[in-house]
Amino acid sequence: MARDHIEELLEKELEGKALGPQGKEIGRVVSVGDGIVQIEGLPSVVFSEMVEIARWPGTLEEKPVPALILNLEEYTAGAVVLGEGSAIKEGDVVQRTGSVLSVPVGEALLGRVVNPLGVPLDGKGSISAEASLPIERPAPGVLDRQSVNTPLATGIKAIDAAIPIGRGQRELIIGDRQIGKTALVQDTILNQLHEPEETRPICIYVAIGQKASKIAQLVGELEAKGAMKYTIVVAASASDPASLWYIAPYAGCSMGEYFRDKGKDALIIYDDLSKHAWAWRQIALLLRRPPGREAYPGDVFYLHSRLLERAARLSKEKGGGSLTALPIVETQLGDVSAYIPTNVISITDGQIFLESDLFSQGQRPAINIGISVSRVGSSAQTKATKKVAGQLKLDLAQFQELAAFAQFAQDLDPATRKRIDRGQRLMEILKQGQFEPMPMEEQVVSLLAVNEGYLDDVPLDTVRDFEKRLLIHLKDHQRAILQKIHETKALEDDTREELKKAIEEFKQTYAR
Amino acid sequence: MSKKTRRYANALLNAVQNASEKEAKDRIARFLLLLKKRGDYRMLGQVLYAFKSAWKKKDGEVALFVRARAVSGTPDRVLEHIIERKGYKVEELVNKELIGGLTVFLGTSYCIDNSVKGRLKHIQALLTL
Repeated sequence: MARDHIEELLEKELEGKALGPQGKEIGRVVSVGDGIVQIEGLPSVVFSEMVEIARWPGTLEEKPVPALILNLEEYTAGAVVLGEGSAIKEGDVVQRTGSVLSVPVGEALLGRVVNPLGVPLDGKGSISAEASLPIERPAPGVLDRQSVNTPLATGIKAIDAAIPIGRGQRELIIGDRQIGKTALVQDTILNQLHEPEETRPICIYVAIGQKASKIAQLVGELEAKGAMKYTIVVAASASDPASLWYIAPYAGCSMGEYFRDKGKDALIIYDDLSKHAWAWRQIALLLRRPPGREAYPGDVFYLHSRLLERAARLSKEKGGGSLTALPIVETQLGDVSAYIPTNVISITDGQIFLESDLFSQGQRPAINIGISVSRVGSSAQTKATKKVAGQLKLDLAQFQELAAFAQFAQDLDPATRKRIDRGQRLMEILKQGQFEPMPMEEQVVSLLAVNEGYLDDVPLDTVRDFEKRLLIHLKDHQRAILQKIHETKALEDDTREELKKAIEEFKQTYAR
Repeated sequence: MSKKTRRYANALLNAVQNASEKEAKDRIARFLLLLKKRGDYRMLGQVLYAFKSAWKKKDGEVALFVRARAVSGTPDRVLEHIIERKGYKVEELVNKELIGGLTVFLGTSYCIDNSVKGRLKHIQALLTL
């Protein structure tokens, strides 16, 4: 049928029937430089419309270069080039497409690495997408949302226990360079392997201005562990123009919204929004928009607020799907009061602070639980986790106060000493290796063991070994307990007693 | 092209378009001094470019007829007359790259492409959809 349609079109075209010369609006390039094109003409072009720039008459081999209209001035329109702009020259003809910038969306994108225009980059062939959605879409209204109460398990003990994230939440990950922000989100993606397929969220990783080698490494690791089957990678690497950095998060968000609107859960990671703001600053300055604070344009807050508001949990009437956002912001020397970090902090539903001091002390992931916040809180925790993690933040806060005091005091009373020891073991339990996300039931076991004091007499440097061997022992000999916690997501009294007994038994063998 | 550039270009156009040669030379010299005085001498290149466009348009927008080969004999020029009556100034150009047919550009913002190259590109766009 498609072939007949094409043959019919070709006949009409060659015979000149019904497809006679069509008049069309055009423009001419008057200046081009730094990825920005000034166009004269195009009297009816609209803001955010896609246009195509081509030599006239040109050759059939030359493909038109796409550009996005971002400035409408009295005599000219300013457009940002979305492709290879080196071949554009003054006098080239610009044609309207009549449509806004859209990206392909759908299941066909799962397992693929694409650029922000939806062009595949992984060499696995073209993508037959089910649909395409505009990259700029309105956020769901107030009545279309419901409250966040389903956990998104990250597999990181410190997060799931103390700073829980729910499906539909926006949780910022903020810290200096090389501190483990990307490692954190990578483990979150890997942890979704522990979720049953029906409830597993689709993961979208948007790389903005990252090194191509780093993106390749991340994709390789996800593929090796089998996580790529539910992941889409949108890559605007460091060598891509600022225009692609600018549209990348919106393109990824549209891909996530496709699944959200179909009643499924999706997780989107923006790595990172600091570079996204830089790209917008560069484009705005080249478009001669007035610079504001730190030379950012005046709408830099809106740049991120309109993006992050699209992450939501929809009401049952709208399908009940969700889009969870984990934006990443890089700080300079821990300065969280800078312009972009404070903007994004005020938009998101909480933040996870990663600190360099903790990192260099060996506390990895280097999460400062004391100042990290999740505004959703325990609504996004399973009952089992709530039972064992309820006191966690308080215990850690007390430990940190006492630990500072203990540096100066010679003799401590037994109760204070005990609290410090417990706090140290708690900090040790919260350490976790990269690529070792832990399912919920195992986290419950670890936290229960430390809360009940089973680790109080274990030497500090063997705490992690104890934890590792304990979990192996339970998987080998007491799998039913873990299975029960996994299925019920609760820690009933009888299960708790069984677990305590199992830990005691293991401890005796460990001591020998 | 900024508003300021166009304003300078339009001012220069108004100053010289009905002036004699001697008057025009004086006015141009004073214009250059004005640019220097206002610190806008660096914009001279852009002003001249804008002036050139405005000069071309002063007698009406240009309608450019581009053909694949020169028309032999004395053709009727019916289409050209129609366009001229609409207030356009007709110019003609030959470009073999069109292969055949005719393309008409009305000013800088409208185009009617009936060339063979244009049709082939249209078919190519349909086939790649």
